[in-house]
Order: sequence, then C-alpha cells, then structure tokens
Amino acid sequence: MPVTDQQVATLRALLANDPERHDRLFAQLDRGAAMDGYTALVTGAFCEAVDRRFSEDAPAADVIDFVADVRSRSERLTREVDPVVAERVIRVVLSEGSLADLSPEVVVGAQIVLLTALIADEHLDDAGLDAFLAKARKLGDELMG
Amino acid sequence: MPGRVVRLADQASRGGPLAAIAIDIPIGLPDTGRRLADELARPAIGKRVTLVPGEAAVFTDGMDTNATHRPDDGPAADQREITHYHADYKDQHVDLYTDGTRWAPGDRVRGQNVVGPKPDRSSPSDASDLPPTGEQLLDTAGEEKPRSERFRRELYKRGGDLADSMKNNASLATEVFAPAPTGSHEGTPAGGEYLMPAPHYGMDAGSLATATFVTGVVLDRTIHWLRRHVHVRTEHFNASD
Repeated sequence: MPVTDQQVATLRALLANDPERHDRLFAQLDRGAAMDGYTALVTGAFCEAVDRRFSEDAPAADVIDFVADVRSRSERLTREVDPVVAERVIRVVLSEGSLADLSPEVVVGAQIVLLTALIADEHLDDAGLDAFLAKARKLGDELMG
Repeated sequence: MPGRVVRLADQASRGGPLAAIAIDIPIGLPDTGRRLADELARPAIGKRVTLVPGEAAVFTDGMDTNATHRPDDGPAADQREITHYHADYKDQHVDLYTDGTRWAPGDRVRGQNVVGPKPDRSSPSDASDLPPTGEQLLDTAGEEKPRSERFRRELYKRGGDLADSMKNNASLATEVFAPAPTGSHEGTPAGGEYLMPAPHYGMDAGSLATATFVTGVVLDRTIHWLRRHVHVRTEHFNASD
C-alpha cells in the first residue's frame, strides 16, 4: 500500500509548523498499515532533506555543526536530542556507518526532529514544500517496496 | 557560539567525564619535518595530536603518504576515519586528506604523476606507485551499497509501536522552529553603531526603601535638633525670669 494523501498531509502540517493540525491528522492514522506508510514517508523525506543539505562527501564537521545548532535551539532539544545518535542517523544517509544497534523508536524519533529542522532551515514556501513532499513520497513508496 | 560550545562538549565528553578540554589547532605548516611541540605531545596524548606534514612536502608532493601500518597505529586502514583539511596557506591552496597515519593531497588527478621521492619511476601514465588520492582513501573507508536498499535496512522502520515515539518526537520537533539564540559569530560588528540601552528613570523597591530610610533618619535628626533647641531656649528664658 503506497503512501497516502492523508499521510502526506500529516507530515506537511508538521513541517509547516502547524502542530495542532498535525496532532489532529496524526490521531486519525491507525496503528497498522497507515503507520507503516507514514514512517516510510518520514524516512523518504528525511533522506531527501539530508541529501539537499549535505553533499555525500560533506566533512563530519558539517554534520556535527548542524546537530549542535539544532540542539542549541531550546533547552528541551539540548536535553532530549542525543548528538551521537543524531549524527549517526544523518551519516547513514551519506553512506557512512550503521544503525543496527539502535532501536527503531530511537531512529524514527531522531528522523522526525532532524527532518523538521532541516526543512525549517530551508524556509520553503507552499510550492517548495509541496515539491519536497512529492519527492519524499516517491522515495517512501520505494522504501515500502 | 553556543552551538559551537555544545558541539565541542558533545565531542569531548563521549568517552566519559572530563577534567579539561584541550584543543589542537594546526596554525600552519612547519618548513620541514614536524613541529617539536607535536612530537613532544604525541607520546603523552597519542594520535589526538595532528602531525601535519612539512610545508615543503605539501607543495612539492613529496609527502610520506605510504607510511607502513604498524600494529600500534590503531585500526587498519580500511577502518580509520578520514579527515579532510581544506584551507589557504601563504596564498596557496591546501587540500589534504589523512587517516591519522598517512596524508594524501585531495586535488591530485588520478593517473597524474609527479616527481617525488622516486623520480626514476615517475611518468605521467604510471600511477601504480603513487600514494593514494584522497578519493581512494575515502573509498577504502566503507563498503558501497545500493542506496535505497541501505535506507530501507538502516532507516525505514515499520510497526504501530512507533506511533508513540513519533508523536512524542513530533512535539519535540516543533521546537526547532525557535531561532537559535545567536549566530556563529558573537560581538559588535566592526564599524557598526553601538546603541546604549535607554536609561531607566523609575524607582525600584530597593531604591524606595533606601530613600525612605534616609528620609526617616533626616527627619529624626531634625526633630531631635529642634526639640533640643527649644529646650535650651526655654531654659534660657526661665533663667532670665
């Protein structure tokens, strides 16, 4: 089952900084197949966003700088975002390392936060966000195989 | 600046609690050989000291990039992290890769030979005896795999159990929209105006208490003086009568 319009709308609300709408749409996703599609969409979006931000040969310092910048935006982010995990999740997209020792909850949680930060930094307009989500959806569908 | 501090602290504290953080910053290239300070520091703190190659070696492609790997050098070559140094030095472009034991220029074209330590074996078409390029070092640092398959294996997680994690982290994610407290550079821009904060003319509670106390003391002294003065004059009149 491919990524659905509802899943795209849910992620769009999050990336557009509309948390109330996101929460409402997220609550409507069931915990089965729909959640599989939504996580595929999130992963596709995350990989696309990392690709846009970092070149494949980006020095490690660029990733470290970005994660440190994200964590410095609030006390809660500093406290709850594990920098080592965050850097590893990004570097896997850049074909470095492995996340085999991390739980799915940790990996998905890091993707959500970092994805939102990556898109927030791009300051996309509506059309830009739609174009981004179209690519993310395509990659999400590929991930679901 | 806070972001950089967080980054430094994050990096430094990964191995456990620290008493101090020292930063090794190569500030140039030695003319020849290695810097004495680096040589002295290396036995004390190991490979955390950057042993930069000499200036002559960098600009004549004469680096010892094929250093033999010894057992005490740490991980094998294909397991070491590659560091890329990229800068301008004395009006010349410096682009170097190192895995901690070897150095390689990052801008050398594959197949291009130079007259280095073995000029008799140098020719433009013979790259067999050349040290590895930066790209070659990077190639040995990890095994390349199909990208989508890698994403699927490493990043795509299924299951309804993830819903709670996603919901909680979505709440956390909204905080990334808050602007960072500062940028990468703090301080007053050169030539910019420095605006003094507007003076505050109001009176706070502490100042009010102080003023009340001072006024009370002055009034008390004044009343005391007046009473004493009247008493003296009264006695003077009584004595006159």
